Amino acid sequence: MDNLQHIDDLLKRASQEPANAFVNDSDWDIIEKKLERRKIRIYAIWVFLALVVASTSLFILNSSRTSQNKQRVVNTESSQTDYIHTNNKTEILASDDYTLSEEVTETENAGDIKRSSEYKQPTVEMNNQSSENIVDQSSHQQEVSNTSNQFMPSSFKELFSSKTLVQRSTPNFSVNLEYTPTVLVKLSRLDRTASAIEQAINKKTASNYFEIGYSFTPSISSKMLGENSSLSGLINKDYYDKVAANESSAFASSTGINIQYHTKTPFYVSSGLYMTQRTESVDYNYLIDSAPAINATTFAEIDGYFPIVPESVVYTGSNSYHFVEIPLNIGYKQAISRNFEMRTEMGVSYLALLNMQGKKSDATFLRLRDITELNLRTRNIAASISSGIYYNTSRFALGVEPTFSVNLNSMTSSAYQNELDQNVTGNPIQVRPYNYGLNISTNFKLNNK
Amino acid sequence: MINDEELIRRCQQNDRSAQKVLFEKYANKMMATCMRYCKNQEDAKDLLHEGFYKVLTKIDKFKGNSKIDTWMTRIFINLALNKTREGRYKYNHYEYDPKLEQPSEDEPEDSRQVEAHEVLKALKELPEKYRLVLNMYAVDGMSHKEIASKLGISVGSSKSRLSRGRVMLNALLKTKKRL
Repeated sequence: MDNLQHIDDLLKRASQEPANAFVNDSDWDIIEKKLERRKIRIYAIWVFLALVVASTSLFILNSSRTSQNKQRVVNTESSQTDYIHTNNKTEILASDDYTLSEEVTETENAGDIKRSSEYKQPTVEMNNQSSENIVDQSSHQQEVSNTSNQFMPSSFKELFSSKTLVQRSTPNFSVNLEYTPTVLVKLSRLDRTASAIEQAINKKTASNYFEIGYSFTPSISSKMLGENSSLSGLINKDYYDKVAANESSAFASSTGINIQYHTKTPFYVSSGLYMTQRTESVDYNYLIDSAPAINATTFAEIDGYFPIVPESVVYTGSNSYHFVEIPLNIGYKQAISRNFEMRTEMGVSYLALLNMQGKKSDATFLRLRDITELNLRTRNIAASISSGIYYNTSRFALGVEPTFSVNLNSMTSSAYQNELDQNVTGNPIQVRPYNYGLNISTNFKLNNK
Repeated sequence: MINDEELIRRCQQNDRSAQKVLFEKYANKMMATCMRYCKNQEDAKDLLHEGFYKVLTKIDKFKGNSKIDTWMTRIFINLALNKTREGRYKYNHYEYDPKLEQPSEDEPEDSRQVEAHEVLKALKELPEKYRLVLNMYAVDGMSHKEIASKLGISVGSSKSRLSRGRVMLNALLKTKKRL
């Protein structure tokens, strides 16, 4: 075939012809729109990552803080004893007429003495008691103190340059501290906050309890398309361009009763009963001008196409699928302040398809059909993950959680009857819906003493 | 007129006006490539949009080891082949005519007497497997080894498809000339 080498030259020459007639400004507009959408996606991803990093940092910081606080309490308990013994000498007390401001006198908590003693060596006066007695009688002081100077902002440290003598005393001993009242007030507030968190944690982990409440999740519903490998030959050449490209995401929602069982550990189990709606928007506007010629032996492959009288398909609407959803999730919670905690849940859901409404084109002939004819799977399993912030009171928990769930199985059923041959079952297209949204929960706490 | 180097540098900084200039400069050439790899104008337009989107989002990976249009053409060809593999174009309709596969007894077509658009039109009428190999070998200058690797076929198949493609294209051009 060497005498046909000239065909290559012909092709090369033809390929160098410009294609001016086919490119215009609208093409650039389409590309620019795609680039803009990408830009928005990138921003959204950055915001999401920033939120994740911030949440994780808070989570880690709080975890280490909690463990250090616990360590601090232990250290303080032991060091207090040593301190009293090694400083068993009489010092000149601050003058009796020294008065603290009202704010300062709020720092009644004897634990302040121990915490403050880490900043500046105090002097102790023995009030006619042996040091052993002092240790015994001061044991009640070890209940709350757990703040260390490493958590103190640098702006606070600067305030230590001014010296104000503060006397703190119990029936048995006195401690003199050279700090400003402002510092003490702020330290006191930090102290109270930290102890409140710890009390909250201790309280929650002290007993098991239930939370029950209402949950609502507005979301965006979309889907992942795949092909059934054994039947992909039945997908019409125009399916992706004419049908799939014109099916898009839509608003969806889930609402129902949320039940959580909180254990003594930070873990909890979550379930409930929800009515879940998934949707998709369709906007078909195409012409069917050829019909597939199906392989008469296998009925599972299109051999070619033959022209037919053009048939127009024009339909705009929203297809909706209604499910009863029963989730089963494992959650982990972590307090991040006195009233706020972060909860992360993941697990699976059982979704029973109750009913569906709308129309959709099939993948082989591209004809518009009622979606009930598509023989969709009625029992579905989805995986979900959510992570968000809860506001807690002693009786209620109000949560906001970004959430994501995806079907683990295809919605299209293997029982779908191929109209070409009753022996061939299955849909050539596989559809796995997914949702991303914001779960809002209001829970009432039961047995939370 | 801004040179390619500066244009690429600005595109790498996401300068939208530079991106538009790059598009305007190479759109026709890339469209010609798209038309060779697609059966119809709609598919070619889709490929053009996707190709430029990819070029503009991946341009920071362009190291300047080749000409920008060569790099872009490779991206477009890879995209077209990916689409073919995904099946987007695999059911493109063609009128199969066994006669086209018979070697012609006549003299080969004289290249000087054939218009470019006729060649491209005839090319589109070839079955995809022949059209792809002809495009990749004759126009884009790929070796049989490279074609075989990209299409997932053997080197022998690539050669065979090229040979058959030439025969069929020649026959098609003669048929059209007679008409």
